[in-house]
Amino acid sequence: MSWYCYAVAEFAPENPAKGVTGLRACPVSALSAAGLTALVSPVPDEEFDDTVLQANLEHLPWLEEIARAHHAVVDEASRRTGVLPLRMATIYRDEHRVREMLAEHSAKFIEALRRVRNHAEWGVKVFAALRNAPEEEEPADGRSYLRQRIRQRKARDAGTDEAIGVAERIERELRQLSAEIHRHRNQDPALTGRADRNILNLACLVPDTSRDRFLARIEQLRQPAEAGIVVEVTGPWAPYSFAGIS
Amino acid sequence: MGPVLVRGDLVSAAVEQPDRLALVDLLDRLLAGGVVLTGDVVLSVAEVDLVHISLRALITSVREGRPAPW
Repeated sequence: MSWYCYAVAEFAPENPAKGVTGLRACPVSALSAAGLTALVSPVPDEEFDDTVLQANLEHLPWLEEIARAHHAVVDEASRRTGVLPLRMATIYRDEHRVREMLAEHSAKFIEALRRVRNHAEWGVKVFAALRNAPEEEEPADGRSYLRQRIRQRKARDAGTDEAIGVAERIERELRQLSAEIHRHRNQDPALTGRADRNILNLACLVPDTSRDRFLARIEQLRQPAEAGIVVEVTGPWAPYSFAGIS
Repeated sequence: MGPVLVRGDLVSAAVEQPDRLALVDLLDRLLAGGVVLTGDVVLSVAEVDLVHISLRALITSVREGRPAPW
C-alpha cells in the first residue's frame, strides 16, 4: 500500500477533504507536518508501481479514470480551502515519506499557497474556423494548377493571420485582468474533435475580486463575434497551472 | 457562443456533455500543471515526455474509435 497525494494545503486542524472519496473508493485523509496538510489516499502497490504505472499511463481508460478521480478530490478541496494541486501520480511509500516531503518543501509550499490564495484559474480557449479557399474549376494545365495553389495558400494564410491577431488581442486584454497567465499548448484537432482549430489555450490566474470583470470582459470580447472565432471559458479551476514551487 | 462552465453550472449550452469536463482540458492541467515532486514512484520519462506519451495514447484511442476516413 502506498499513498497517492492529490494536493497540499495550509495546515488545517480538520481534514479539508473530510467525506471526500479518492481513488479506488478510498476516503481521502489529511497528513500534516511543517504547517502544511497533504491530502492523500491509499493505493495498491501492484497498480501504482513504477513499471505498471508507466504502462498504465498509455492506456486511455485508466488515464482518464485516474485523471477524473484526482480532479474530483482537488476540486472539492479547493472549494473548501486554498490548495496547491500536485502533478498527477505523485506517490509515496508511507506516511512518513509524505510528511518528509511536506517538511522538505514547506517554505516553497507556503509561499506558493499565499500567491494563489483568493485566486482561481480560468481556462480560455480561442478556436478559429480557418477559411476554405473558394471552389475553383479544375485547372486546365500545370501552370494554372500552380497559380490556383498559390491563390489558395494566400487566402488561407490571410485567414490564419487574422485569427492569430484576434487571439493576441484577447491574450493582451486578459493579461490586464489576471495576476498571472500561462499558455498551454494548443489542443490537437484529434482531441477536440472539432473542425475549427485551437489557436490559443490560456490559463489565467484571476483574483476572486476580479472574477466578474474578467468574465464580463470575455463576454464583450465575444461580441460582436468575429467571423469564425469562438471563445470558450472553463473554470473556476484549482490553480493547476500556477502551482510551480521552484 | 461557447460553453461557460461556472462551478458546473452551464451558463450557455453548446456542448454535448455539459456536466462532464472535457478530458483534454483536464489533461492540460493534470499532466502539464501541478507541483512536480520526486515521489517514491518515479516515472522514467521527463515530464514533457509524460505529456507526450499520454496525449499519444489519447490521440490513438480517439482515432481508433472512429471509422477510418478511407
